[in-house]
Amino acid sequence: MRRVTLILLTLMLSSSCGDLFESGSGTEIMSGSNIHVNQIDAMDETKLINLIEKRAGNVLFINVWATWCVPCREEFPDLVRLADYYDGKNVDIIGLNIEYPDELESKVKPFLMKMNVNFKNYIHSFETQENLINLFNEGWNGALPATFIYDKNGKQHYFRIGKHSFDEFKSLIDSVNTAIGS
Amino acid sequence: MKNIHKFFIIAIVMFSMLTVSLNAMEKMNVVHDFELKDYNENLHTLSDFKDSKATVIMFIATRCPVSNAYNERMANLHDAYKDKGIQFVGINSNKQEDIKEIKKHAMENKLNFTILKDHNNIVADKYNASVTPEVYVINSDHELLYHGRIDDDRREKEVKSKDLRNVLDKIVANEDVEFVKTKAFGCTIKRVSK
Repeated sequence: MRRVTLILLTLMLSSSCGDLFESGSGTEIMSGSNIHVNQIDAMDETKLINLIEKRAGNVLFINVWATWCVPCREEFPDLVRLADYYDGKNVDIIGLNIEYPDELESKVKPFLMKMNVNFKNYIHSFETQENLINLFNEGWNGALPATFIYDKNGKQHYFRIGKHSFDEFKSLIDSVNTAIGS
Repeated sequence: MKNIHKFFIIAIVMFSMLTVSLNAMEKMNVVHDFELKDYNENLHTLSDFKDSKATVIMFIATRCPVSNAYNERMANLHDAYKDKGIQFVGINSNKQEDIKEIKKHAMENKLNFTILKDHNNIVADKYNASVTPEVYVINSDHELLYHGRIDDDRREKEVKSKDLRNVLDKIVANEDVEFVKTKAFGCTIKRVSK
């Protein structure tokens, strides 16, 4: 009887921890060694302008997101796939989270861990939301997720609102690469 | 050959009309009338509110955390201005949020203003609304006075700019109001595929 109880308890514990330690590189997540989870830097106006202008020959793909945004969460696995696909191919995949600094540990990092994130993410520290929105694109109303693609000269080629797929993004990135003949 | 020319001319004219329609509201400062039912199946038009000093149209949602963060503020704004000639109208254009859910949400959150269901996001398209919450303030002549956020922060204690309240105070005081547009992060309006 004790043995049965022990087995049941073990099963219950393992199932309740399932959400925290999802499949994939669970060992890496549990050990806390994912640099893209641990190093979330603040992004202000100056940093964003530098990031866009100093391209070092790379295309820039920036996705603005939040954990409270359902389509952002749904889109994220495709961003992970993009980062994997473009690894070493002169394309920087960047995430910019727009939540509060005090939500970094409680919401942002756990989500990034769950996604097994493989690209650099920042958290916004702009003075106002409107500054951030207008710096990306005057035509953007603030709907999330929003994605911006710049060429290696820092020129914005695409601005997309809402959830998009790996194939849609890949097609846009490749067209920027083709347009600038890289 | 003449037919091909005609086709291209018609296509260009139609495209131009569509583009003008999408941008006309803000550039020409006029708004489209609409006809929608509330969650009790009563029909409303924008013209119903023409006797008020101004109408506040708020695109809202039941499931959007940002819109929900504003429930109490929306209820308080309505309470503060309803007897000062300001009408409040909520519009729910999200495809997955039905009338039953909208009514329950309104009751639970004491949203005592008219809330309309915009099936197939027809009004959201006409108004070019893209997020929740997103607000339009219209005067009795159907001129657009304000478009944008309720205020500048999802967390009420962090608010620095009470944009909607500032506009409404001016209207109540019969001051001149020049069109203002503001922006803030919000949930995308979940539209039907067209």
